[in-house]
Amino acid sequence: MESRTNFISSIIEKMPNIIILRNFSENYGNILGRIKVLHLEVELEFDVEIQPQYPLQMHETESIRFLNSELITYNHVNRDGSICIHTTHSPDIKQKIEWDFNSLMEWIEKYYLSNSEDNNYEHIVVSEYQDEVLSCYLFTDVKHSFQKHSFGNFFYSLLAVGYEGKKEKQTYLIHDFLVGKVPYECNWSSLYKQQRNFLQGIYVYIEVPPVKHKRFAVESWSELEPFVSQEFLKFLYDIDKKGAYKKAGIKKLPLFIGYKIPTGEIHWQCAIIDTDNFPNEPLRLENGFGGQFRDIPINWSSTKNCSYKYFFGRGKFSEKITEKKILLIGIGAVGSMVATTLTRGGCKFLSLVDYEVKEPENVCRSEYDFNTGINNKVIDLGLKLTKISPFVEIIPDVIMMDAIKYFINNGKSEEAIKKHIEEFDIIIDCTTDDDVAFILDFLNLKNEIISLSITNNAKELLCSVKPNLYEWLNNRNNLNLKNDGAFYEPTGCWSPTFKASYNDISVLVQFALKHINLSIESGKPLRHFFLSAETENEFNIKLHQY
Amino acid sequence: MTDKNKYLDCVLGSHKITNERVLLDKHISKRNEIKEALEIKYESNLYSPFNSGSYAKNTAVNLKFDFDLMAPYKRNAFGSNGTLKEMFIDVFEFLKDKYHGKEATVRDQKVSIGIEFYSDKDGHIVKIDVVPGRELNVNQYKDDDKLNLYVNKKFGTLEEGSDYIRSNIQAQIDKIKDRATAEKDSIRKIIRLLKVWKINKKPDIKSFFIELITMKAFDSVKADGDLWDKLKTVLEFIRDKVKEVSLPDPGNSTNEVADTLTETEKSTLSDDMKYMIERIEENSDNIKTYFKINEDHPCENKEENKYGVKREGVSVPPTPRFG
Repeated sequence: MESRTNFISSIIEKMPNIIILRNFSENYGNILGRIKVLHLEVELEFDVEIQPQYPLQMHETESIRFLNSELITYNHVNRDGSICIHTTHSPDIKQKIEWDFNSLMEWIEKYYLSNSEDNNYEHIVVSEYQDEVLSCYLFTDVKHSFQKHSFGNFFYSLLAVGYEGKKEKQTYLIHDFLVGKVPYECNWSSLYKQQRNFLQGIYVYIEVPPVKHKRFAVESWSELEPFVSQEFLKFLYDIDKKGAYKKAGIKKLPLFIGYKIPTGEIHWQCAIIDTDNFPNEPLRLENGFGGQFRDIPINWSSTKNCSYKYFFGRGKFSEKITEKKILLIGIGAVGSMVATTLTRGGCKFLSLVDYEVKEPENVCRSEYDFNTGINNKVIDLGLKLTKISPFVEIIPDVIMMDAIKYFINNGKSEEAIKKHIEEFDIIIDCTTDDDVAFILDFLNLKNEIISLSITNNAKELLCSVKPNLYEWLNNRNNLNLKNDGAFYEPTGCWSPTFKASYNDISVLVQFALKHINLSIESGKPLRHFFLSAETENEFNIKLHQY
Repeated sequence: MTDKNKYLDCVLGSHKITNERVLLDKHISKRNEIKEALEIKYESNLYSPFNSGSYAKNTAVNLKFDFDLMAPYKRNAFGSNGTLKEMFIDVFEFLKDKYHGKEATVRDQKVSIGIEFYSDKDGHIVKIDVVPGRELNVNQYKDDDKLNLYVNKKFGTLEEGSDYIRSNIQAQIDKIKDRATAEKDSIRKIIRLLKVWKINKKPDIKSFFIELITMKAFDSVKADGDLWDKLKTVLEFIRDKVKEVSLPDPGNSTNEVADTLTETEKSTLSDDMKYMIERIEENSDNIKTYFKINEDHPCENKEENKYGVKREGVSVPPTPRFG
């Protein structure tokens, strides 16, 4: 049987415009060779490396590599000189080789000959230092316009410890930048802003990316030197001299290096300073003393722009919802699903109202977790929501509806109640309490109001809105609902409940929220509607709008 | 299953204005009082005030009597250089002085002055709108019935830059009244049903718009069959044509009444009709959601009474809902 090496070699040999300069041979599973490509009057040589997975991909990258380190200044070339190509999947080696070589030709045309620039900005290439413990720093927008060469301290805290492969990975959150003596807060939600145990790092804003060959981060401190000012080097020298970090037992000091990217935003890279071995040293200049960086490697750590725009970049609800103050009353199965969906959809302000506590039997069909035990629902879910999004403000409220019911009939409190509720833009009532629907209607509120509930076995989801919110719900017997009277009554239970699984409920809740989002986004008025889940033949959801 | 035709008949029956005879008489009495007060105050500067509104057009329902009193002033009633605004303010101040804070609340509205009398011992509230208008030229009203109305800018204008509506109110009334009377089983019934719907669901749509588009529907498409068939035909017409239909004011064809709704409002109205038809065709019980019986006046007919019975006897609890 023909060897894999010979088979691949014979395919490449027969390709037009390819000359094999060094025959293909196997080396620890890889097949290596060297070729010359003759394309559009250009001759370029490449080392070719074909990995054992070929023609399959490895971690979404091609397992064939074309390398020429002299091409590093061209776009879509990695630091090791390999050309960045992506082709379609094929399990057929011959087919795949053909496509991969065609892709190489396309690169030559587009990026070597035409020197094309892509519209989409890609971050500079930073080789993360493979320390024993890895770290990543998450930053977000800060309301300050940094001046070139400005520097100072920033504050950060440990968010979580996880693993990347077998290595521990520590994730840090950036909180404030100190400009002079003024702290500028990063735009996280207040829960994150209130975090304590801050650590201190230093930053310098250099305005342009610290790169060589257009997009590769500089690798040594001396290469960084042209990007910084003498004032910053003196600042660094003073820190080293005082030795405060060292005395505090801090071995690694993060240096945030900021620059502007084409979108106008600031991006930060993080170089780790070893406090036992600062990368700078004093220098005698003609007119006094100065400083310089030593020629030692920079240990880059990873950073991520975690601002709202990127956090929800892949998809979110309409701004007509996310920017609104939302009052969510009732956070059982339906309400908790609404809450998590709104939070994952980018909502920024949610007030949760519910007097109940979460119990273990709630968990299977709601968004609650088992491991937080018995807890007020508003606290339990509130914490979960802030774990999902660092941009959502949660106000938990156990008593609001009880208080409203208590005072609504005294003839004096109506206006005060109304004023309080009208501080919100959207009210979502998932209590299934007809009293609540009645009150919300009776108060003649200016807010958008949405009342969501389901019927037994999640046969239907009802959505009632203004005007006539209460009346429509009250006339639900006219809707021809499938009223299945059999409830779930576990042993020892005092109050039987409806039957339905997480899946039964969430599929309707998601449908309803999708419909509501589309209506609001398009500027159409919300209407009463109900969804009916057809399960008899094949599963189907039907929307009935009023 | 609801018998749609019987139910709709019951809706119409329960909304007859004669069901509210006492309240109707109170409206007539108050209207006459206002009319006399205006005649005394403005003497020969005022032609004879007349009824406009739904009651005059024979299309009223008893939820909202829609009693309008048109007050036609002579061209120089407020001086030869007097403006429409001065006319409006003068009438407003007069009525405010006479009624406001004493027995009613008087407020300025878009083209009228609203007088809402305080609730009486029966709990009745009488509401009458006075619409001041002025003839176009000296003595011309007798010949052409045309009047200029003042448009109160704070409520928006019909046309950008215009501050008055020129119309022949009598022609508006006659046109609708004549057809509503002649075609009482079709046009009149459908207008009244749509008014019942509008009062409950879309109070901002003008009755005048409903009247004109219903007549337009009957003129444009064949609407026969039973009451539901006719209603459905009109609903379909509005659904399909409201975005493009022209509804010239019978009192002045240059006034486009269709423009009283924005494009978005027309689109919403089209959707209202679409979903109403879908829901009623899907489940005839849904007709009760859209067209309410006035439960103060349930049907007299025993067969029909089941649709309008007051809440007595055994009631079925609503389907439980959960969250």
